[in-house]
Amino acid sequence: MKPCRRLLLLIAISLCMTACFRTELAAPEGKDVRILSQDEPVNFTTEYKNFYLFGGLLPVWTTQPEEIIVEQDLAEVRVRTQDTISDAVITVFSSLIPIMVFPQHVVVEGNRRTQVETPKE
Amino acid sequence: MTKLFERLFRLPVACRRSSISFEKYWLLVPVFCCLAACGDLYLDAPHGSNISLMPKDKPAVIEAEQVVWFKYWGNEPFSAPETHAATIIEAHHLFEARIRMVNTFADALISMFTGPFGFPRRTLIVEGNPQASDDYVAANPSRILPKP
Repeated sequence: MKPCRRLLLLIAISLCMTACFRTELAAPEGKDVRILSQDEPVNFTTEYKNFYLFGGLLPVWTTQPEEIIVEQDLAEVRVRTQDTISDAVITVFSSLIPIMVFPQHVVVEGNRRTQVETPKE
Repeated sequence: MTKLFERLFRLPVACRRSSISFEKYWLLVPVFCCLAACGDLYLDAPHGSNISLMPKDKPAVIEAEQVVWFKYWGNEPFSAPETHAATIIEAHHLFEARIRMVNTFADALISMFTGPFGFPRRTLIVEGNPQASDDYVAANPSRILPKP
């Protein structure tokens, strides 16, 4: 295979690995949820990593914030996505073998429904 | 997959000594390091607002995308307000929204070239319905959805 075609193939493979690399914040069906601003206090925080194989093509072991909202019965929520040093380390070493793990660090913060006072008007 | 890599790098996966050489896989390391660099993005609401979170299947009038550039391999954004979905919500006067952080095709393509120099990018997408003023309601009665 000529070098330029090889490079194009490498780029094409890399670009294809973008579809599943996403974090979505949406409300569960039938639930009233409010989006928090960055400076509001919260009484629930959880952090986790979503893992994608082959550079993001195949999501494995992923959790979207909607599942956290249902599980914790959150009435108010905000989300932050990060790329930590551990994510970079995992990516570097997993790229040595053909599985290319891409982790995505997600922080979900919020207030449970039982602890929320009357909503602000 | 093994044949693909074998053709790509002219590298036999298994040789007579049953050992695997990963010499040329090192070429992928800087590529994926650059793709991994990102930065912090915030899926939040403006200060003092009361924004409802929409479910996935609810129709949205507004769909806004915001490209976020980072420097120093994601350590710092070029513009801190751009990393917040609150900026988009405030700009479009939304009263309900749902938010996505994605790595789009354009992000990946451009980051392939800018990432090695420390400038990755991501995209924030906000879908929602705007705060309806009386004039807007009168002009677009079919587009107004009932408040939750």
